[in-house]
Amino acid sequence: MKGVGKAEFKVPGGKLIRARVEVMNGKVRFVRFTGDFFMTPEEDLEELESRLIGMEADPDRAGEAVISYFKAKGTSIVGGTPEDFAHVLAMAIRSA
Amino acid sequence: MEAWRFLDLEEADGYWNMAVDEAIAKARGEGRVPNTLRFYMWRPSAVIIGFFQSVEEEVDQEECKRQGIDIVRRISGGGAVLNSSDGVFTYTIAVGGDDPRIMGGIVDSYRVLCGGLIEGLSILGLKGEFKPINDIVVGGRKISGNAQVRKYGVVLHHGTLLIDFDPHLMARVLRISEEKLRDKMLREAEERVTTIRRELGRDVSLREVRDAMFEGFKRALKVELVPGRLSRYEEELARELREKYSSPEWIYRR
Repeated sequence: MKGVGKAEFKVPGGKLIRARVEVMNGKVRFVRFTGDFFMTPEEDLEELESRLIGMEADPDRAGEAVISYFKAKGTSIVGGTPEDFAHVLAMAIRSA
Repeated sequence: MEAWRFLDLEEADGYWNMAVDEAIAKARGEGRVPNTLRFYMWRPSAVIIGFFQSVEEEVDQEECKRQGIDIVRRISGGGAVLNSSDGVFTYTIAVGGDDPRIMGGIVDSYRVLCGGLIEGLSILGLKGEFKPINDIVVGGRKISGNAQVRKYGVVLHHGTLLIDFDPHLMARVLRISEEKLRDKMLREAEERVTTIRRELGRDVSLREVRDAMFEGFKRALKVELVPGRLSRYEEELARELREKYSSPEWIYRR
């Protein structure tokens, strides 16, 4: 079983966040966040994306993983919050 | 008065322009050059996307090819813009990460550094206002978009100022997201964006804009702007970095 999910969310008063996810056999195979937000350090996004690979493709758990990653890293995000990224990823997984 | 280096208006392609910005930031971070303000123009015109954007999602690549417009990814976040070769004035600031001007938080540092353009606009007779997170508006319409990246221990802040603008060309080369359109109540680009020419209701020369912005930054940042040039180190670095910025691996990395 393989599926591709996509979602986008315009943060009110903030920026646009998109997620594209590939799911295979119930696991996350690929994740990519894109958008016009700002993030420092920028490397954190790629690290998060690679850490999500292999996770169970469960919208809530994947969302929680996003939030705990950003919180643990102390990533600075302008135009959105860790919760916004979690929300977009959960939507993308649901649509896969 | 504190002295900054000033790199006066030059015209180059987008890959070189972005390579120079990063070279300046790196050299500034290594303490080889002073804080710097740079003015420049783009030739050929380019669509420039934010670091976290995807070319496929933001740009009509076929249309760019037809129009001879480059596609450039910058090192800073933010959204896609069309830097047309005649209509868009661009500037860059590289300032040490410990500078008191940028210590008040990210949005506040945009406000402070955008102050130069707002002061410059007032010299031209226009009332610009900072609109968080990173825009400057005149009469509620966007005239300038700005972006920052914190790297090498430096704040690299760069942005655009619209002198003239072709909404039809912009609509052809940029893909506008459905969500974003909905959020902005489907207002047309013509209604959301303005230019110096439109606001002044007359033709305005690049020289006039340059002179006003030079004076504006001097006043707003309370610095002396000392005309200078790229160091040999920066030139060499920029030549290397241009390879990166013009490579498909960089342009299509997201």
